[in-house]
Amino acid sequence: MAGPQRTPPTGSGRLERRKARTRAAIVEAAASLFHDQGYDETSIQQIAELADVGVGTLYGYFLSKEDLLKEVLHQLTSRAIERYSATASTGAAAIDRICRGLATFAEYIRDNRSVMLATFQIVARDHQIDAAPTKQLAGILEAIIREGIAAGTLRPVPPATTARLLVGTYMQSTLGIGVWFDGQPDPGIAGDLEAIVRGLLVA
Amino acid sequence: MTTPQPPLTQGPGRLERRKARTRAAIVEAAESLFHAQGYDETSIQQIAERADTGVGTLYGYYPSKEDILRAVLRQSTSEALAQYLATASAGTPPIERICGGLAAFAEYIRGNRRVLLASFEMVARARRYEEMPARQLAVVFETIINEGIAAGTISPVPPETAASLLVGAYLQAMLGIGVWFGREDDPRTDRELEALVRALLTP
Repeated sequence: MAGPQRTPPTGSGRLERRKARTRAAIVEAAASLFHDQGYDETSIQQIAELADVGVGTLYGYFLSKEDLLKEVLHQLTSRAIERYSATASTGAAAIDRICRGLATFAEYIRDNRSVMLATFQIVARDHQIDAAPTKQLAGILEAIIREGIAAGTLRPVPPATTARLLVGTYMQSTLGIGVWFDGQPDPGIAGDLEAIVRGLLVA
Repeated sequence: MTTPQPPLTQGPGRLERRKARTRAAIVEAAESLFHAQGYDETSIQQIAERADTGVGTLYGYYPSKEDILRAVLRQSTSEALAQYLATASAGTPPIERICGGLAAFAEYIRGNRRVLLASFEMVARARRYEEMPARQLAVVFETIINEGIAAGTISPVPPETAASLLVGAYLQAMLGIGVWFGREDDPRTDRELEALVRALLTP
């Protein structure tokens, strides 16, 4: 190689970029297949084919299908939080920002139902998979709740526990799982929940 | 096997009782083993041995280990529910009956966490959410909430949704699922959840 340089040789920069592109293609292929046909129904082979790489190459980036699911979930969450942050104006009342955040969250869950349900298959065994994305959202809600309490517009509820309660409830009720399972999606529930949230939080 | 006969004082009665005893022995053996060493770690052979019966006989009662898990849960939830209903007298104010019920539910979950998490994973995989033990309790709470609203001692929340919210939240929190990961044994969780329940239901 040449003598002392401040910038790396273009060769390794290009390699890094290509690796990043391949990784992104794999994640996008996985996200697309999980969404369209379901997590269980998707194979590593299908993902590799759609991403236009070999299975061996894929395994160089991701250890397992579950590993890919975590990455897909991570990206979907980041995108949803971006979308929410773009619409949430700090001028609006805390309660409205909370309700809008929860409505955005519900939409995100509905749009990504297959991935969400797949994570629940794994969450009982490996709690961490669900923890990170929803914890981010709970953190955002917690901050808004604290602001609202400080401003006197929200009741002095325990902020962290309340945020967890809301996020966990919206997650399960939107998916219609657990105690919320009813066979049929019930559109009335969204309105009920918002009424409950407002009744609970508004000072 | 037996030819049809008019009912005798012995015979079929005794057979039914013996079958019931064997069934109970299997469920009891399974419950002990699941608690002591975990669901995955327990084999059919171990259950049969502890129940003092043959593996073939056991399969005649329960075709799979999952069926045994369901039976274990059905029994423990109906016992816990019966105990709660016996102690919650009609004289107690509705809010107290709900808070008392949730506290009992929390204790039940903590006492049966391993089995419940195994069941949760099984239920999520099979999408058979109607089997979750929380639903019976949610129905009981819905009735109490309606009573409380009629008496003017509970805020006019949508009863079914509120009941589901309470039960679902406690179930997730005490199992440490998702956002509640790591919080399930924190005494603050219990205190703060109770404060939220009261804030939600008090007119």
